[in-house]
Amino acid sequence: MRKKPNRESIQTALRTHGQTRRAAFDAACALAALGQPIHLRALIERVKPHSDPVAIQHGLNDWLDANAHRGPCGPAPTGEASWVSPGEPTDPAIQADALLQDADTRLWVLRFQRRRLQNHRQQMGIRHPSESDCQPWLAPLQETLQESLQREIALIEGLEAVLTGLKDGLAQDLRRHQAMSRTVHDRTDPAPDRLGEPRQNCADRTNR
Amino acid sequence: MLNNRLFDTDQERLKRAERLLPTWFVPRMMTDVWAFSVLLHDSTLICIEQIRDVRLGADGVYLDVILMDAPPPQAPSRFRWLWAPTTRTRASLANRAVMAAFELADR
Repeated sequence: MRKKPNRESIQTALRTHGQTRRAAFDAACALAALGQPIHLRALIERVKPHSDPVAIQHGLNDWLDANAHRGPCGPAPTGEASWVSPGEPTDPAIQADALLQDADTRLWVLRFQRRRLQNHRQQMGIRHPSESDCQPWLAPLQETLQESLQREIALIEGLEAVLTGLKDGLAQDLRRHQAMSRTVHDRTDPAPDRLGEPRQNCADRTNR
Repeated sequence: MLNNRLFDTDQERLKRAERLLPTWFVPRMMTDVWAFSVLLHDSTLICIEQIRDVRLGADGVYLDVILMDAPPPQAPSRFRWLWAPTTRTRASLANRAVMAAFELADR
């Protein structure tokens, strides 16, 4: 005969359901931060083994609700209740990614600034014969300007080198961080993949 | 400032170009090396560094340009971006295909 559930067992079940739901929600947030696809299977792999799939589905629904696009109905909740923090992203991986993109843009602009100066310098280097004959005072001025341009070019080249070094360091940190997060996720035992089993059994039977 | 520095041949080329195409972008893009772009009819953006010359052909005006060797970082994907496929960056564009010309970098 089936035992009637008492108040304590109901409370425990509800608590476990809430914890799993919350864990699934957190897992969805982590996946989103890493830019990975968010689906039930991925969440099952990231919560405690043998967790209630209904609770995981509820956690996923919570995440979808919290991150759904808010149109004319009003903005997403803010403050403690907000699942997606407004303004600057807090995840270091996202921040590092944004910094890398910024560094790329800056390097790109620096490259054009260097090329622009090189072009100016080249234009100055081509001295017109009539110009130097008629205006001899122009030569020292041109030399000073050439030196100044050369200094600016060297300065930009230095900046490019420093920025490239910083960017490479940041990219390495980002890769290390991503590898670490993967290790942390791998430590959680994934739920056994039983979805394929019945089909496999059917196939075996057919083969026999 | 650089306009004054251009020598006779360059000045003449610039004047000729301005006569053929009296637009803002011709002197701007002929006297500087920068990240520029021209928009074509089919939403293709051609990334160019400099306009070297403007010539009158039998079937219209052509721009001799130096293409950029890479697209801008984080280039919006709603456009088709075109840049130099090799290290040889010289190209000619038919002016009749150009819808707009503008700068890609702000600094």
